[in-house]
Parts: sequence; C-alpha cells; structure tokens
Amino acid sequence: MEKVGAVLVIGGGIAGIQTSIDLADSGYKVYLAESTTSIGGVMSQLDKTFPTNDCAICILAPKLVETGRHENIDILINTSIDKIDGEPGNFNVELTQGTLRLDQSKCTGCGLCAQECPIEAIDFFNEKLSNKAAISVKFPQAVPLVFSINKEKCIGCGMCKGICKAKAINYEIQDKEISLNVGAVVVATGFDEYDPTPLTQYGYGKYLNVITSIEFERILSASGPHSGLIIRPSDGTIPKKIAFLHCIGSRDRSKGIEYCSSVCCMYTTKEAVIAKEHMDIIKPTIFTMDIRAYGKDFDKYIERARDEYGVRYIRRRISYIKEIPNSKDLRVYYENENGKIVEEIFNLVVLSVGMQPNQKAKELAQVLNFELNEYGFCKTETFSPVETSKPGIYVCGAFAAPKDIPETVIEASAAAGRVNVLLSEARNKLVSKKELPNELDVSNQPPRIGVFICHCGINIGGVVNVPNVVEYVKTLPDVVYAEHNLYTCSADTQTNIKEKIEKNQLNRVIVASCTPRTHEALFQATIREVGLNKYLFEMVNIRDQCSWVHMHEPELATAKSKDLLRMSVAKASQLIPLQEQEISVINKGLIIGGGVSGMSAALNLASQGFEVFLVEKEDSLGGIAKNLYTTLENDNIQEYLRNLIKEIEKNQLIQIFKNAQINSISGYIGNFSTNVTYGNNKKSVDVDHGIIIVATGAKEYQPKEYKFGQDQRIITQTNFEKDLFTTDKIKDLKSIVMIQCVGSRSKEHPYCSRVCCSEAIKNALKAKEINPNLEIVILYRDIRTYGFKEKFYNSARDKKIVFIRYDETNPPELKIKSNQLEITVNNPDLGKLEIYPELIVLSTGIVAPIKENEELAKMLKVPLNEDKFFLEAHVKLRPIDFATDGIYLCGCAHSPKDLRESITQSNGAAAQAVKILSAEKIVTSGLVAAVIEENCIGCGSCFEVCQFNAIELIEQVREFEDFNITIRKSHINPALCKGCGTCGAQCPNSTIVIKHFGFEQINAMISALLTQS
Amino acid sequence: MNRITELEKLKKEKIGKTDSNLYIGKIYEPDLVNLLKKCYQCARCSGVCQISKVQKFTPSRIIQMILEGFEDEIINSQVLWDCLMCNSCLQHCPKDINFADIVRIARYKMRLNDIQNPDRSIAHKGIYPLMSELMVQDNINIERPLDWIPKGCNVSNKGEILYYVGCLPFFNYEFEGSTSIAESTLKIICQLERDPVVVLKNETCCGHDLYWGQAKFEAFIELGKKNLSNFEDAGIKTIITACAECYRTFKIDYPNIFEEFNNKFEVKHIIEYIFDKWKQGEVQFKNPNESNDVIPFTYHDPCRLSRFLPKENKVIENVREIFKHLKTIGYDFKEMEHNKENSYCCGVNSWMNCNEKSKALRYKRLLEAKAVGTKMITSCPKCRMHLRCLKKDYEDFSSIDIIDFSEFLVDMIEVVNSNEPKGEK
Repeated sequence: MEKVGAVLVIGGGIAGIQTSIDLADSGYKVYLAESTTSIGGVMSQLDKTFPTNDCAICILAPKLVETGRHENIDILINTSIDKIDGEPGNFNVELTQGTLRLDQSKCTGCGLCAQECPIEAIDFFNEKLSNKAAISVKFPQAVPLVFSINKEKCIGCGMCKGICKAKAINYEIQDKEISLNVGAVVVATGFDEYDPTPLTQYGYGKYLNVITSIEFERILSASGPHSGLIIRPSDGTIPKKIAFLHCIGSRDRSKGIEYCSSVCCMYTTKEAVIAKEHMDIIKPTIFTMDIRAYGKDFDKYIERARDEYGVRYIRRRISYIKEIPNSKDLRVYYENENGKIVEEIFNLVVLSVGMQPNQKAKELAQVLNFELNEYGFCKTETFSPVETSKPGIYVCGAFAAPKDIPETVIEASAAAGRVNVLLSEARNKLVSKKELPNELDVSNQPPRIGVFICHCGINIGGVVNVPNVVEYVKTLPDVVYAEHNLYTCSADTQTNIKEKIEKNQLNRVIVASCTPRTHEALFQATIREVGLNKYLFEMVNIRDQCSWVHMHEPELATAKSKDLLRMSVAKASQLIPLQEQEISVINKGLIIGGGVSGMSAALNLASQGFEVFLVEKEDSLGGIAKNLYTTLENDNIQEYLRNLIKEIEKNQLIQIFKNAQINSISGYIGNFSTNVTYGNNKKSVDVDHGIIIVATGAKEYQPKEYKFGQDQRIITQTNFEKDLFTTDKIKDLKSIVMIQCVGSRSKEHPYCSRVCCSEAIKNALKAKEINPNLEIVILYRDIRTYGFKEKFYNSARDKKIVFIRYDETNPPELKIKSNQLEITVNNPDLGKLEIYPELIVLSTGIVAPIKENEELAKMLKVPLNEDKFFLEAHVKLRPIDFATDGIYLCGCAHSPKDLRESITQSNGAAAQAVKILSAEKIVTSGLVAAVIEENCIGCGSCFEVCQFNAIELIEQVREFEDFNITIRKSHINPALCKGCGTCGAQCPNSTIVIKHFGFEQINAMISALLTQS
Repeated sequence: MNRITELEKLKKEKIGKTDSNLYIGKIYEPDLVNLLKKCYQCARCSGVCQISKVQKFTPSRIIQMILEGFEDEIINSQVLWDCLMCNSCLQHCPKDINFADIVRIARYKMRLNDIQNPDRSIAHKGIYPLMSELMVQDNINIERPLDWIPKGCNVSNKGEILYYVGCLPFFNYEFEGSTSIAESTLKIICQLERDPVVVLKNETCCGHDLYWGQAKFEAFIELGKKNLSNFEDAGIKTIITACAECYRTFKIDYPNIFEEFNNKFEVKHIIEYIFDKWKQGEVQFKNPNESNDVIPFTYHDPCRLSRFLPKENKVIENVREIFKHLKTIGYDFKEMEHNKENSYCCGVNSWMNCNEKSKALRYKRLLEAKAVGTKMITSCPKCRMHLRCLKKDYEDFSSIDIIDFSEFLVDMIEVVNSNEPKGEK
C-alpha cells in the first residue's frame, strides 16, 4: 500500500505540539487531535518552570501560536479517537469531534459572550479553585481561540447568541464524525495528576488547607484564582508555614504505584522558591525521601533553594496530618533524626502529587491496539524508546513514563524522527504551496496608505471610539483610505482588504487591532496575495495597549489609539519593500561522534536517503557503550551495539571517518564546510554539509579518591561490570561495598551523573544473581532511580542488598589495615558503622572531556555550561538545538544520560536536522540587521554580542592617498540573523541598521508622537 | 531653504527660557560671509587638512563655494560635520582664517535653522554629549562616582586647589581603565599639596563637545555658568586638569563668555603643574623600574594643547623639557615624524564621525609611533582612547603602550622634602 504523507498526533500538550511542529516543518500534513478545547496541556497551567524559573505560559505561548498558524497543521479540538484500520504507512482513523455548540470557523474569540453569560461553571484550568462562565475559553492564550458552551451548565437562555456579532453560536451543531487517512500516529496523551483522596491520613478533601501541588501551582500563577496572591483556602490568609509532602502517589508499592514520578522533587522545590519569592514571610519545608535532582543543573537549583531561599528539607515522609479545629492549621507528625515522633504545625500543606497514566489511556490503547506496561503507561523498549508495540504508532511524553518538560520535548522530536524514517518517501506529498502573483514594484511611488481598524466585536469597539479614530486617521498625511471592521481578521475581511488595496492602489497597509504575535502573518499573507511586498505592512495593537489597559477611560483609550496610529502612519510611509533571500541547502549531514548517539542519528538520516559523514576520534565505533553489557532492564547492550555498527558500516550513504580529528568548521546553516583528518595516515579531507549533529559523548571520571589505583580490590563500576560479565571472579566473593557519587556532586563536579545509582543497582542485582550469598552494601547520598527504574531499587532491597546513606559533609572513609579493607561510614540516623569488604566498587561519575569540548565549541561557536557540557539553546523548550541554526546536540555531550535517553535524543536531533536537509531552500526573513559598511570601524562589538553567530568580521583593504590599511568590516549573514537588534544597540557607530526599525522609521514615529494633533 | 549665509536674528523660542542670549553674541557671529571673505584662495589649508588625506574635504574649496553661492551643495554633502576641528589649516593660513571656528558657527546655524543636525553621526549613540546636555537641567542632581579616588588621597569639597576630573569616571563604563588617568593625576597632586585637594561630587561637564562638535551653544553657556558658581562656592583659586579639552575650554573659551574667569582662577594642565613644581625644585624624577634598560618613548601632541592655543600658551616645549630630562633615568624621548603643531590628529573630534576614514588617520599615527618607540604618551584622554581603540584591532601595534602623561609620570615623581636643603639627598 502506498505510504501517506500525513500524521495524526493525539494529545495537544507540549509533547504533541513539538511533534506536530517538527513533522509539519519536515513536509508532512499533521492532524493534531486534542481532547479539551485548547492545546497547551499541563504546561499551560504551570506558573514557572525549573531550573530557570521561566514563566511557563510565556515560553509556551509562542509555540501555541506557531502551531495554530502553521499551514501544515490542522488542530482538532474536543476530539476523541474511535477506530483505526490499516498498516504502518497507511492508516484510516475515525474520530469524533464533540460539538462546541458554536461554529468554530466563525468564532473570533472576542469574549463578549462570556461577559454576558449569566451562569457560572467550574474553572478546571484553575483546578476548580475558581469559576467561570458556562460559555468560556480554556485560558486566555488558548489556541485555537474559540469559545465553547458547557453543556451541563448551559440553560439555553440565548444571551450569548443574541450578543455574538460574529453569529457563531448555534446550539444545534451536533458532534462531527471525521475520518482521516494518515501514514503514522503519534500518541502524546500525557498524564493525570494523582488524586490523593484515598490517602486518608493526609486528609485531602477533608481538611481545607491540604491541597495538591497543581492547585498550588495555579495559586502561584498571576493568572490564577487569586492573581498570584498566596492565600490559603480556609480563611484567605497568607500561610506563613507551608509543608510540601513528596511522593504522594509515587514510590508507594502498597498502593500499586511503585514507580517514581521523576519530576516532583524539582517542581516542589520550584514551588517553594517561587512562594518565597512572592512573599518573603513564607517559610517552606519539604518532606522528602531522596532528593532526585538528577537532571542538567538540577542539583545547583536545589542548593540555591536551600542556601539562598532558606527552603528546609527534612528527610522523612509524613505519617499523618491532623487539623486543628479552630484555626484549621495542620499538625504534621513525623519521625525525627533521633527516632522520636514529633509534631509540627503548618498553615498549609501541599501534597506533591505524582503522575498517573491518562485516565483514557487504557481505552485508547485498546482502540489503537498497543500494549501498556504494568503501571498502565505505554510500553516501550530501551532500544526503540518512542515506538509502541504496534508498528506505525509512536509515543512520546509522559504517557511513555513520567518525565519533565525538556525530556518530553526531546522525546517528541524523537517520535517525529522515527515517523520520518517510516514516511520519508511520502514527504511533501500532502502539503500544498500557494501560487502567488509577482510582486508589484512600488519603490518609486509616493506612499498610499490604507488603514483597517478593528472593533474586535466590542473588545476594542466597546472602549475605543473606532469610527472617530477612522475619521482622524483619514486626516493624516499619505493616508488615502481608512475603514473599520467588526473583525478585521475574519475571512471575508481579508477579501475586502484585497479589494480595497487594488481599488485604491494602496502601497502600504496598516491594521489596528490585536497583537502582531498572533495576527501579523495573516495580514502579511493577505497583502502578498495581491502583489504587495509583505513588509509593507504595519500593525498597531489598540486592543492590549488601548482598550484593555484603559478599559475604564474610553476617551483616553481613543486618544491613545490615535497617537499610536499617527506613529504607525509615520512609520509606514518610511517602509520599503524588503527581500527575503533563498539559500540553497547541501542535503548532507555531519555527525561528530561515533557512539550510540551519533550512530543512531546517522542511521536515522541515512534511512531517509540523506548522506552522512560520521566522524569518530577513536579507531572503532561504539563509544562508552563498548564498556556496557546490559541495561538495568536487562537488555543486551553488546548485541545491540554489534547490530548497530553492522548496519552503519554496510549503509552506503554513511561515510565513516575513524581515528579522525576535526580541524576547522566554516559556513552556516545549509552550507557548512569541515576539514577532517582521519585514519592512521592522517589523510585530510574537506566535506560539505548542511547540518551538524554534536554527539561527542562524555567520559568516565577517573577517581582520585579512595586509594583508587593503589590496590586491586578497589575498582570502578565499569571494571566491576566487565568482571561480572566476562570472568567468574564474583563467584567466590563474600562482600562488596559500593560507594556512590565518586566524582559527582562534588566540588570539582557539582552535578549529578544521573546513571550511577541505576548502574550500581544493575550490577548489584547481577552479582546477587551469580552469587546469592554475596553481601552487598551500597553507600549513597540519594538513590536516584527515577521513573520505572524505582522497581529495580525495590527489588535490590528485596534481595537484601543493604543501602546506607551518608551525608555529603561526612563521606565514607577507607583504611587498609594489615591488608584488610575497612570502610567507615557515618549514617545520619544510626551513627558510625564499620564494614570490612573484600571488594570496593566506586560508582564514578560522567565528566565532560574539557579540552575536546572547548576546542569543538570554539570551532562551532556554541557555548558550554559551567560543567563543560554543551549548552543548548533553551534548557526547557529547545534541548536539542543550539542558538546557532543548523547545529544540533544529542547524547552525553548534552549532559549525562543513559542509553535509552541517548537514543531518544539522537533521533530527536535527526528530526531537527531533517527539517533543514529535506528543504531545498531556506528562506530568510527580510527583517534582519545590515551594516552600513563605510562607517564600520570593525570594532567587533556586534560580533561579541550576537548569540546566533550571524556576524563575521571580514578584512578589507582600503586605499588612501599615500598608504593602505586593512580594516575589518562586520558582515551580517541574513540566513542566520534573527533581527533581534542586539548588534544594533551595541554598535558604537550606529552603523548597524535593523531593517524597518532603523533611524528613519523610529525617528518618524517619535516625531509623529511629539507632533500633537 | 534657510541658508547659513543668511543673517538671522537670534530666535528666542529656540533658545528657551534662559538668559543665554546675553552670552551667545560673544561666541557667535551671524555673518559667516564676513568671516570668510578674507580668503584669497591660496589653498594652503587644503594641502595640510588632515581629513583631506582620507576623504574629499578641502577647506579652500568649501569657502569658495559658500562665497560664490553654492552653499546648498556644501550643506547637502554634509561635509561641515566632517571637519576634525584640528586647526591644522589655521597653522598655515596666511590670512589667519579660523576655519574650525567658522565651521563651529556654521554648525550652530544649521541646527538653529533646522537645516541639518548631526545626531546620526555622533559616535557611541550620542550618549556622552547627551550626558553633558542633561547636566544643564536644573532638576538633575549631579552625583559623580568618586569610588575611583585612590586610598590615601586627601580630598575635600572646599579649598583652593581643584582637580577638575572631567568625563573620565563616565568613560570608565565603556572604556575600561579610563579612571586610571584620574587616579594618577590625583595621586600626583595630593603628593605635592599640603592641603586636601578639591574633587567636586557635583562637578559639571566643561561643555567642550557641545561647543565644538554638536554646536549647542546654549547648553555650553549653561554648563559654564554652573561651573563658575561651583568653583566660586568651593573657594577655588587654581584649577588643575589632565584633559586637553577641559584645559582649552577653561583657558580660552570660558574667558570669552565670562570676562572675569581668568582673573578669578588660574588654570593649569597637569603638565604645567608638574613643570612648575619641578622648576621650583619641589619635584624630581626617579626610575620606577628595576632594570636599567633604556626605554624609547614618544609623545603625541593633542591639538587642544598645541595648534589650538595661542602662541604664549602652547603646552609644547615644557612637556618636552621634562621628557628630555628623563633621559637621566633611562627614558629616551624621540619625536614622531609629525610633531608639535604639525602633529597628526587622533581622527575624531567631539564624538563626531568615527568611521573607517578616521580609523585610517589613527593607523597612520600609530605607524609613526611604532617607528620610534615602545611607549606613546599623550595628554588628552580622548586621544588615548581613540588610539588605544585602534591598537586593539591590529596585532602590529601590540608592542606600543599608549598611556596618559599622568599615568606615565605617577611612579617617577619624587617629592623633594622642603625641610632639607636641595641636593643633599
């Protein structure tokens, strides 16, 4: 059967959004089915995100908008999946779109109906902490921005129908059946928060001041029920003492929730920090077992919370809570370090609830016919981390396992990467390209400006006197036409704008309405359709800046609208047509690093027909995985590795350079050139390629601690693994001590190496299997077996492996007395213990190869973090890309991670790379910075501040009467420039101009503002 | 179009609600033609004009075109904003036509009549002239950073000896190490003065750049008035500065407006101050280095201390006398090819027009310096800044150490104890 170039993505959270954008950008038609009325998922509910404390909605909203207006993405809200037939590459899916009781194509999201609706319904977005109208939008930044009627609450009074100027409301609209023909399905249905009601000892649902973490998240949010004011439910007072309880609905085998939810340690700390930031009088206490800060820069965040914000951590889970009847304060009972049960009074208790599979997951799994794991999450395999058990159906995000946002984004890209492999032959078959008329040359015409002013229902028109503004605008210089529209963004107005442009020979167009962030592209496309250069457009936001902020001062709002329009007209008359450049792409990839990450990425690209240069510094492929035998889940790594290498080596499209060294990298996205020397003879070759994937990995820490290297009985975990799998040394051993965090979370390497806990447990379990009488003691600071790895920690405990915790300030000490190994460990609860093992295994961390990374980073002009791992463009939402276009990152070069995570990220990197490789040409924006060469003195200030590496300093010779001088000149590559303007601000000579934000335009605006009408 | 040759009456509304009007007449001549008509087109000026070496700019031709009715062309070509105001032409003019001063007046006219303003070509986004202008505002309370003052320097806000610091602490934000000049200068003065030296926290800009560069005479006058009253309030008798521009402004331009200025205050450049102390036997020089290697060095004369001063005031020979004397302690002074009044320009005046041409001028200057020494001394903070900026871009010049006069001398100064008879040490 022929493969179909379309994909169904189920779930519109950050995972579904990322997959959709990645696929749509790579030439597939995407249907994004979402069960609620807006995409955005749980991330849209969050106040801030760790570890950067970015505002969640602020960084998410641009992605929502991008998804909403992507021409290759159709968003199907309020939609469920009924049936699927077919085979990988060609599925028929039947879906049902529930009625919103209004016509989605007509609704403009103006919100008038909600103001009129007499009925209050519960606001689920605010976790039931507030109410909203029965006709409502999920949240203000919702995409698509359409309202819907809550069937249960609506009394059918008809108020909304009467007021709706767009005539969108129609109670009679029925549910709609949709059938789609797609090549693949990606399931990204996310998770549900655990409902702690069954844990009666905590009194959730009974005690008013016991709330869940997601409820607290809404309380923290400025758009939440109390506008960011932290007040407790019982009496609206500020809770001075807040207790956060970890592992609610996680790590609880008795309740059938054995796994760790992976994110609660971090988000709780974030909530505590943000609460403290909001109100300094709040004293947060976190009750925890292990602090699982295993991600990139997470430990630093915890330290900051503890040291700078004074967040108190107590290593105990709470036994029970009792409410004090009058004050509604809460008595919390726990065991202190001396083993005594103590009570402490808190004003508010926040339960850090874990992640559960989506409640509809089971149903969906049945419909789509894929398997779930023992906990009800989607079942996946280590070596195929985003594939469900049903071929052609992929999974990503928290539905595959609890995980945080960056890992979700990585997995989402990886799912796109795997879909690419399945469907590459059908790429670009279902996406359409618009035919546009030739651009009119208006460069020599005097400005003829047309202005379209939007009422936005009553959103603007209810405050600003729009007709009055129109009359005013008509008096401004160069304005030849002005009108007002009920909704300037509606489809019929677009036709109208085009007619007016032609009739009045307009050569500049201004729309005064809402925000350019959501609507500029629409209007630009409209004017382009009648041959106007799209940059001859200006947008004025009289909604946010006038009618919203001055809603109680209509006259001032009207006056300000006039001011803004006067400025905009002045600017519009200074606009010139800008040209977008097309840059050709070399559709070959360079991958640096021949470990599992690099090979996975190479294979992904090659299987789509792209040529790949794979550069490995050693004389064989495989990287760190060469030293690994099984995974914690008991997958055979060596076998996997052998097969992978075999596949790579036989693939004609992959050219491997072993023993290789990169000497120089030049060029930019789509057009890189790299010089490599390789082989024993150090042959030199220049390769041209369009993208670069950095997969250089990391290395094992070589310990200086614990007399390593001085005694054969002191070995690393890697040595131990080799002994386990290749010798029978373990058989006769009696006792082993493993020491965790050797070279991790130390002064020199202040981060967690993420994998060592699991590696230690894996090897301990294997050793027990070989030699059941072996005594194994693991000395640890925190056991960080996140996600489903927790099961193996439990099973290690079951197998009587002893775990003894030590404190970072008091690490274990090793002595060798008359050839006897003696370990002294100080347990904070039990005191000093002495152990006499036969073997000591050091769980050494993962460290970045500092010199190599620094050299490569310099050549690529990309940054490293403090720990010398490569630093991605944005830790939360761009974990695979660098700020420099065309360069991507995966595997341990990014941060320590296990094999599964490396494979995931490398497929994600491949998906990002394919966006470029599959494009014949890259179109640059016209709104870029440019240098007036004559005045450039080559000081290099711009070069230093450009974070996109768009600036090059090129030497030129200037000849004068009696001498010559070589002067550096700044050159801005429009392919890389984002038009951010930083260089222009930095230039001491004002010789960098940001097009359309230059002196002429800005000066015209300022002059217009100062000219009173 | 308004013309620069037209005689306008001073427009009061342009000038604002100040009494600057009274003073403007002293620094402004409305009849430009009258100033130019002396020219008999010998064109010596064009031959020596420094900027003419790198771009089309010939004073004689400009004068001719204005006189013969082609002034629109001159205005449109914007060359009047390009003049370096270096005064090379005046040095050679047989008729003593002060071209720089004429350009200054023409600039003022262009601004006054809304013909043209130079806002786009002010380097560093115009921030420094803007700061000067802001200091005119009565509602702005000037609080200068004083954290650069070195430990052990005894300063006060009242007294007879003022160290007038100038822009240096403000420069320091963008041009690292600028306050090092101020530190060195203050250290020197404090060593030699018994009483605390006055450093004013509310010190106001001298206004040099507004006067010459942007031609904002009203603001210049207001700054002058503020300075005058500040100095009087603090009881100042002697003003010492390490800045060539401040020096010229106080020495020549302020007395043009405030007749009494020279009677009230003695203005000294730090060069003169040290020279006098040396001659009076209060100062001698020692070699601060441990080695006895001979260090060849040269001196870049700033225009404001050479060409821009009347003959009797030029700070040219005294500084050389000191330098030549330094041979006794291992410093070998050498002249660059162009020196004294013929010294090359640093390329930029009053933040106007920093571009590849001015860069070329600096390049030429450093080639000359490189030929004669490893140290290049100057006594104008802006020359130092401009030349250092160029040095940074060219590996060739990395061996040249460009420093200010005070920085050069600070460790060589040895105070002669006045209780001991001279020569017995």
